[in-house]
Amino acid sequence: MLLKIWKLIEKRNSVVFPYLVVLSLFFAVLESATYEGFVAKSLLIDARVFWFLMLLSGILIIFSLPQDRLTKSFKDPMINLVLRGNALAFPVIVFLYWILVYSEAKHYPNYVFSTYHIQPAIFLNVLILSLYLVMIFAISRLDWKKLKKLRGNIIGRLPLIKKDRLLKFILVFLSLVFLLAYFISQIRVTFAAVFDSDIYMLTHLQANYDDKMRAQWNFYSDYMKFINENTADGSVIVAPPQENPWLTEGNSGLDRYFVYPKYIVKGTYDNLPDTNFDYVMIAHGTWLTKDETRYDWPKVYVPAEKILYFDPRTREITEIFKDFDPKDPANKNAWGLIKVDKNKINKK
Amino acid sequence: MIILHFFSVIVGISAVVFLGFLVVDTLVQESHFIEKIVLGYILGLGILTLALFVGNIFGIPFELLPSSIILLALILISLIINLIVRRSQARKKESIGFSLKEDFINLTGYERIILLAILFLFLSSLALSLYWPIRAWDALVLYDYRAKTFVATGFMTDGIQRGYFFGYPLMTSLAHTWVYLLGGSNPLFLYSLMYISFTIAFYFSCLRFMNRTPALIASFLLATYRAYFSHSLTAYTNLPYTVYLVLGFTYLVVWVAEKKQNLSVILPALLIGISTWVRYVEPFWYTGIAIVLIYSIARRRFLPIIYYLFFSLIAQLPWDFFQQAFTSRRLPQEALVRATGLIINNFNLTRVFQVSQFTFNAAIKPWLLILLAMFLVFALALKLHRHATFPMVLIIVINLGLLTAGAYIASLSIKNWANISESVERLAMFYPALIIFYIFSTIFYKNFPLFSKHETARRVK
Repeated sequence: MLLKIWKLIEKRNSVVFPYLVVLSLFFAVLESATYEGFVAKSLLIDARVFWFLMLLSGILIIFSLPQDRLTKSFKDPMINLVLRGNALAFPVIVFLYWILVYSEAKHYPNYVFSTYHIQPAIFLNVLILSLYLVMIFAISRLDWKKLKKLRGNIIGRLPLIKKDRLLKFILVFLSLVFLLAYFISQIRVTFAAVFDSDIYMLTHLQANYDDKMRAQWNFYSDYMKFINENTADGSVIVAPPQENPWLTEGNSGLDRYFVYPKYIVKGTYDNLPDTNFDYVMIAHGTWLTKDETRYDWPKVYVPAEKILYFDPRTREITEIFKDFDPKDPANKNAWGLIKVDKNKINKK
Repeated sequence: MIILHFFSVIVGISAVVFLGFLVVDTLVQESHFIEKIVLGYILGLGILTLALFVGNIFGIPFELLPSSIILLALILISLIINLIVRRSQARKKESIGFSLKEDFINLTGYERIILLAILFLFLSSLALSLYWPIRAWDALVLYDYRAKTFVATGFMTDGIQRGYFFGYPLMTSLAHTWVYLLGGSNPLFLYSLMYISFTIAFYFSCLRFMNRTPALIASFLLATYRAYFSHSLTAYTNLPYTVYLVLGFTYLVVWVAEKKQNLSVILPALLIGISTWVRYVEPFWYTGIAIVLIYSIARRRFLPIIYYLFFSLIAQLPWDFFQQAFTSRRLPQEALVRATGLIINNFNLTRVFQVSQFTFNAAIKPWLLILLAMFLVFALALKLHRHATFPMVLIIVINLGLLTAGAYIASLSIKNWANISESVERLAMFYPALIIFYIFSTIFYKNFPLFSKHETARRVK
């Protein structure tokens, strides 16, 4: 009974396979031009379902191999058409993917999507699906005797399979399908990251330490470098509290890395600490907050020997000799450093 | 100057590998030369950092000369023990040497493609780790920061006084310190080497159960796991922890399956013990004790459990006692008793369901497919009485239980426990390696002629 069902599945699979191929590739291209999950939202079926079915169908095609022995062509002309067509298109897909990743690395993140409306990371799905079909095509082109031996090895000589051949074969088959599906999902993500990273590196070989830190931390790393270079050895620097919008610059654990061996102490939202300190950070705030009044710190008057303003756009430093007044318009949206006048603070 | 520092780092790391190589050569008599090299790197780094830590407690500063003397002393001791063991009657089996023909030239076409893909990943990881500086959040806040203080002051005092020092043990920080002392400016490559060594060591542990082709495929699957590759470029403790834990468990399964000698339990004991030197809070090291205990009782041989406890606790206790001196943290044994009591006193079915759901979504969902595959393979193995790799199922199931129990305890003590899903996902990243090992070693167990017509499993003479 099981064997009859199996034969029926094999027959129907030969018909269904070409349509699954076309649909899967189409959905992969569609999602790379829109966004991941577009198909699920539009059709209420995730594109990955089709990819998984194509994976399953392709494995069944290898096992059943409805071929003509001499010509090695599939009896169904549709299967021949999709596999041969894909084999022709595969180098084009590889080349296109290379161009997308290279362009992205050469310009800036999201450049390709904003210019050509294609997402390289999702386009990799097209490449992987196409590669999978190329592998099926390659296996189908093997010598008939070798192919029969390969099938025999899998079905006939599995050490696990002695009696109840079909049931055990199905269990092994399903576990290998799950493994393969997982494998392909990991390959897609990992190789996308590898290609992106490698090409970024190759197109930015001249980047120095500051450039690389900026790639991760944006303005924050430049700001902390400014703080470190403009504070004396052994000094104590007051940082804003670790609250919105100063969740990064208020993280004293993070700040201390950039200024070690200098000391970081934390202020509160509307006050400075009671302990002795030499400098106070001026921080507008890098995190978004709905309450606009929270931006800009410190919120209190600080007697100062001088104030150094750090322009976030030009990275230029301006030196002013006056006390820090939070109500001064110059301190709105400002970044910088206050060198505290300890005499005035002690008098107060 | 840069070239001098470069060679200094090469020599320093090679010395660490040599130390580990001697230890592995002593413990695992029949192993491939390359296996000893990669395990040597993994073990050597753990042993050296532990020794530097203990030395510093006794007043030896973190400086190049004293640290080098410690390393040389360790190498000398390992060499002497190795020579003694080599000459003893117990050393009957020969190790498998490196052979270009056997190991590379005789590969089939499929195997070459897989190997090339793996090598591509290795080279990418290494190149990227040399390119990018240490820049990940936790690495700057703690791991690399501590290394900076050690290099600047030679001791731990300054770091302790500045606060947030005891979050995690010092293994990775001291590994960074070693690189900085050698004149290196960027220790990120250590993690890439860890990833490479992990994949290769995993391959050799697979080879004990299956032929070359499935072992290569399993290793490729491991190497392409997203988290392992990305963590090879991130100076966090998750990858080293995974490496020590996974290899510890796989060599434990080898010990059980091949009914190894008592002394062969020392390698997994050291590996799992050192995992607690990387990350301290996680309870998965208890699983190793459970497995060794079960099989020691079953085989009525009690020396293995004694060896196991001794060698795993050697790696764990120094940090335990050091922490006790400075913080209010409990010893793991006390913590276990307290945790058990906490679960029993606060047992609530609704919470169990919530926590299980959270654990499933945060930790298990990313690798659900292979977990399903594992259950299918397990059912098949049960039917066919193929139990050689059953210990790995026990390990995975016990660890899943510990993970859920740990999440349950966290839900009782941490207010926003449901927001830490990313941390839980990183914590659980060792499971896929164990599952892949189990699936492949069960399906392709012993002499399965799927692809390779040249390979007959190389056995010890």
